[in-house]
Amino acid sequence: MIKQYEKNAKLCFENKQYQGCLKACFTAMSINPELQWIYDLSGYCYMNLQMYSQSRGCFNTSKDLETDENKIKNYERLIKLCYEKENIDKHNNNTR
Amino acid sequence: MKKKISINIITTHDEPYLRQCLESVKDLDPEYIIGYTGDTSKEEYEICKEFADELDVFEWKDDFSYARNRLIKKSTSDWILWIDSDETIEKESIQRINDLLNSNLKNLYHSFKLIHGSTSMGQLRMFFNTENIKFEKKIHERIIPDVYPKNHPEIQIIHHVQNITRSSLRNIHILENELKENPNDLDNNFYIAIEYHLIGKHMKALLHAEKFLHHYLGDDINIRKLYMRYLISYIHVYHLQNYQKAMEIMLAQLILNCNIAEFWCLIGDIFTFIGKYKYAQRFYKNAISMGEYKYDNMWLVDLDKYDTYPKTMIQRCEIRKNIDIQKFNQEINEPIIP
Repeated sequence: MIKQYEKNAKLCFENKQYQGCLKACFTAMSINPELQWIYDLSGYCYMNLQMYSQSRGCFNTSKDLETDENKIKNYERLIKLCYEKENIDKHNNNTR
Repeated sequence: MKKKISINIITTHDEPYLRQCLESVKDLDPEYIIGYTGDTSKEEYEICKEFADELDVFEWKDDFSYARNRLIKKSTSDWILWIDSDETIEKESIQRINDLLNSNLKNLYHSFKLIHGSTSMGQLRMFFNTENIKFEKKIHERIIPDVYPKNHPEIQIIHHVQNITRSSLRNIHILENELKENPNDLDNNFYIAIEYHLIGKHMKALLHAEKFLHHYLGDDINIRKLYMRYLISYIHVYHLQNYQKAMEIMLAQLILNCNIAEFWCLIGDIFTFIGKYKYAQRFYKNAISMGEYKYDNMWLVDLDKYDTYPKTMIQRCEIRKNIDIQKFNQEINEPIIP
């Protein structure tokens, strides 16, 4: 069943249906919360929805689940990117 | 000489913190405007007299706005800060308020952090004294016209929690009357739900929370909506043991906002209850890595220590996991007696 959720989530993501993708991800999470793909996909969904602090949170968890050093570095880069985008958003909101 | 700031305080019932409250704001050198409602002891009246620049004696009408508006009218300073008689302000925060008053304040409305037990929220507490400003609603009163205050989370007001049941019953009485008078003002359901939950009447809390959600037309990420759904899930987990329902609600919440530690923790609690400790630990870990809710206008968590609970639960789950493994090993090692 979890494979089906993964398939649905990826399909939604490819079709830019980010809410649908998140729904599939979080449903899968209730079955097995230890799967890294859930947090990866959710992170990218939130990023596309411009919800950067949420995206950063997901990549944080992905990083937590990762053991490969190169992949950890990649997550750190993504987290930093989210921070930067978040700060730009904050700055824009404050100057509005 | 005209003072810079008026402190508005209402005494509604016997209040052991009254003197502390009045003394805590002394360094602001304020004009004390005290509303004395008569429902208090002689000793309390003497304390009021001792501090008050203006002592307004009137009958309590189960209406906070009425009382606060009376005090606003009697305030002569440029700024008004209202606090309740069971609240105090720490010295550091008083210094910060003084700094604010001595700076060139552009914003006319200021929100401070109200600390209530282990929870906190932002609340509009200081505003510029103008003729048209007033409070509206009998309870959970708000300033009108609608304003956007500047948040100062570094300025903290401590609410000394005492008899929750007494104040909740009073609040429910006022809120239910208000709901009868204004059935379309559905905000009251939100507050009634919280009050019933506080005094342990969970079914009534559930009823009002669902009424609020049913009629509320605001968007789904509205903080009150998020909070009411959280409350409903909490009751389903802790009082109805309906984990499936709670899980459905919480997962939908997480899609809307995965930054709130409480949501992750509640799912962690569900997995703890059903004995899936490894998964529970993951949700508590997510609460730490993802649930970093930042100070905004209102939320009911201890913002400085949002990771304390999940950290404790991760350890507890580890212990439980080991106990279960030992128990399991014992069971399979026991000889089978024919």
